[in-house]
Amino acid sequence: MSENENITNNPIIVCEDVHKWFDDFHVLKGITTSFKKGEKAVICGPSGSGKSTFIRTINRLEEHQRGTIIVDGIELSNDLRNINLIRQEVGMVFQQFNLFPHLSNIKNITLGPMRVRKLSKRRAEEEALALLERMGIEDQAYKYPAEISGGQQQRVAIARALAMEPKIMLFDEPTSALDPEMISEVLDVMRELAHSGMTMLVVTHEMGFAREVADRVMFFDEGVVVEEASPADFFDNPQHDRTKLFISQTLQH
Amino acid sequence: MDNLAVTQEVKPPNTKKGPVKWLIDNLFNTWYNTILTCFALVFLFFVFKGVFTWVFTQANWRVIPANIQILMTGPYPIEQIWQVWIVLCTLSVLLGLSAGIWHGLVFKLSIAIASIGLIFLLIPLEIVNFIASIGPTFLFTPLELINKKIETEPGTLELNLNFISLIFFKRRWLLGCLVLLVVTFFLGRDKHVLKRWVIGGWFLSFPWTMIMLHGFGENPVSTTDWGGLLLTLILATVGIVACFPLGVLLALGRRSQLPAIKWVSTTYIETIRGVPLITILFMGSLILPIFMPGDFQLDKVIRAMIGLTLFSAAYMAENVRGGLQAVPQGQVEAAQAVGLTYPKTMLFIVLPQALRSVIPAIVGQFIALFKDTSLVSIVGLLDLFGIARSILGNPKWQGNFVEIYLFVAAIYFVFCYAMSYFSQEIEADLGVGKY
Ligand SMILES: Nc1ncnc2c1ncn2[C@@H]1O[C@H](COP(=O)(O)OP(=O)(O)OP(=O)(O)O)[C@@H](O)[C@H]1O
Ligand SMILES: [Mg+2]
Repeated sequence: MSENENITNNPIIVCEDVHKWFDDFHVLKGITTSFKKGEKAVICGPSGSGKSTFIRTINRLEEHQRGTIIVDGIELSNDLRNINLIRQEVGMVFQQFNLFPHLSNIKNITLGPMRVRKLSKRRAEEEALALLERMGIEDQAYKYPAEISGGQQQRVAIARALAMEPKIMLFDEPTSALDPEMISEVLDVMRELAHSGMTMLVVTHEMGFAREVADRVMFFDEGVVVEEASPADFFDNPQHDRTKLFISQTLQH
Repeated sequence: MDNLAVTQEVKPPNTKKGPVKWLIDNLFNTWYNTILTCFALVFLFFVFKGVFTWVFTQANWRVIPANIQILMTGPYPIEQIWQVWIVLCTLSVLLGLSAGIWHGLVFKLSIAIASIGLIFLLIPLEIVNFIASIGPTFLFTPLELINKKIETEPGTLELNLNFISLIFFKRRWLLGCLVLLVVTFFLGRDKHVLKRWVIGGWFLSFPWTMIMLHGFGENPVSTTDWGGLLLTLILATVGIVACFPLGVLLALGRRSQLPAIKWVSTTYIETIRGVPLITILFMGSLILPIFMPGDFQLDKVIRAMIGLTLFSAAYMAENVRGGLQAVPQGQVEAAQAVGLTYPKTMLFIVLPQALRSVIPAIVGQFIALFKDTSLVSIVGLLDLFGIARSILGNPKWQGNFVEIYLFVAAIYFVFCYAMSYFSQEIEADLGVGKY
């Protein structure tokens, strides 16, 4: 499945020499890469290598201090208008779901459409219910996040991001906080999303998912992209020692 | 061994319940607890006996009905008291409509307020003295004896024993307010078109109250004549309504990324929290006028309102900040990732969660503010507490300070308890600790 007919040649995200420091700690050390429209990239690497930080710079949850990031033709700068525009185009799914606990599931989903896209309540709810159906949890619409399982919560979170009709979806370890039996229900949804042609950047340790869905696997270590290749090359023919070590370690588990 | 049979036979350990069991468990479980319980019972008996005898035979409750007017509204001229009632009627209408439209919490709030009204309506101030003259057994005294007593002691005849005339004539305004509340509740039921008007009405209710109390035309009632429970309620309401948004803004300011805003908020909060309320009230009433340009004088009551508001806002800010800190950073990130701007993130995501977790502290602050209004009596305003003191200044009532203070305390208690009760209702309604 790695040959994806949906990919176009226009890059939708362009990163040029992106650097990021936390105080004195150099987390991203010059990332230069680009992602095409419809591309699915899986990002992996050891803990603390800067994977989360990197995808969070793409919707400005983290600010980069050097280099440029251009998302769908808009450069990320300190201009708040640009940031808000980009955030509407980039959906994000978090490891810890981060659902709003004081709102019912459907309100979690309709909040953005109503307050940012300015949809009417009725319209937003129709769309939300359609999304929940797509996620296979339409019967959970009027419950609260605390009342449903982790896998269901993560699917609500995906629906919440999709409700903004983003062009790009960022996933930061979406299945790491889930019990094994719930991982597959979330991966199924992500797989379906991938087939629909969404541009996806996925930080994950689910190597099966990477092999099956990804167009490209990027390996991060200590703030640099050590290796990037198609899944077949990456898993079966890794070039760098660090990549080899990482693959052998992850596949053991 | 048949395992199934064994599990079926197991019954919960035999735990007797009931009052006797409770008594034995809690009060008589060891010999020294038994002794303690006996001592406590003897002690309580004497205390209650003392209180009972005092309340029903020694206390002179006449002081309350004789001063009820001044306790409620202070020196407010009696011939213009209808202006106060007009205000209360207006508020009753607004509250009734709101309860009908919004149900839930607003409905419970109006229940709480209506019960306070009902207490005032039904409390038999006028016959309290009569009861006292008969003693604690009045309930069991035959009617003939009561009639005989009225004949032999002409003083008691003045007392208005007729409950009907008490409620329908002397308290017709209060009754009217309660009726309005109920009627407008049914009128406003589910009339969602009225929403905007009612909200507008609430915003206008404050200027309307001030204008109406002040009156127009030839005989305006100066704010120095506002007093008693009326003044206490005005000060407390304005303080509560104004200090809340101010406190929220200060709390957000203190957590702001912008150094200037952060510094101003922090300095304000720490300065105010570092001085007693009484100094702020003195500043407002004595020192501020010195610096005021020319003959511009801010009204005394307004100065007290500002002082109370500024003071509570600092504490409110710290309570709210505590709540803000309890909201995980992930919530802000999730909101931002959906594209919400900072103000919207605060309004829809952070503040609802933050405030929900500090409702007890916030309501505690409101209750403290309500009681703190009594300090304005020191700067010369005649609030409920100030009035109580001024009544005691009258040689006729000098000896009745216990009765007066007990009554005043009871009024404070009724309002504070209503707030406390309402806060529990809010928590239950929002499902605190559940979601
Ligand atoms: N807000 C922060 N302040 C300071 N240091 C941070 C902050 N966030 C992350 N770091 C540090 O930056 C480094 C990279 O963090 P990042 O979260 O990007 O790693 P990661 O590759 O996602 O790791 P993991 O697999 O554990 O999620 C880590 O060493 C982390 O301690
Ligand atoms: Mg991470």
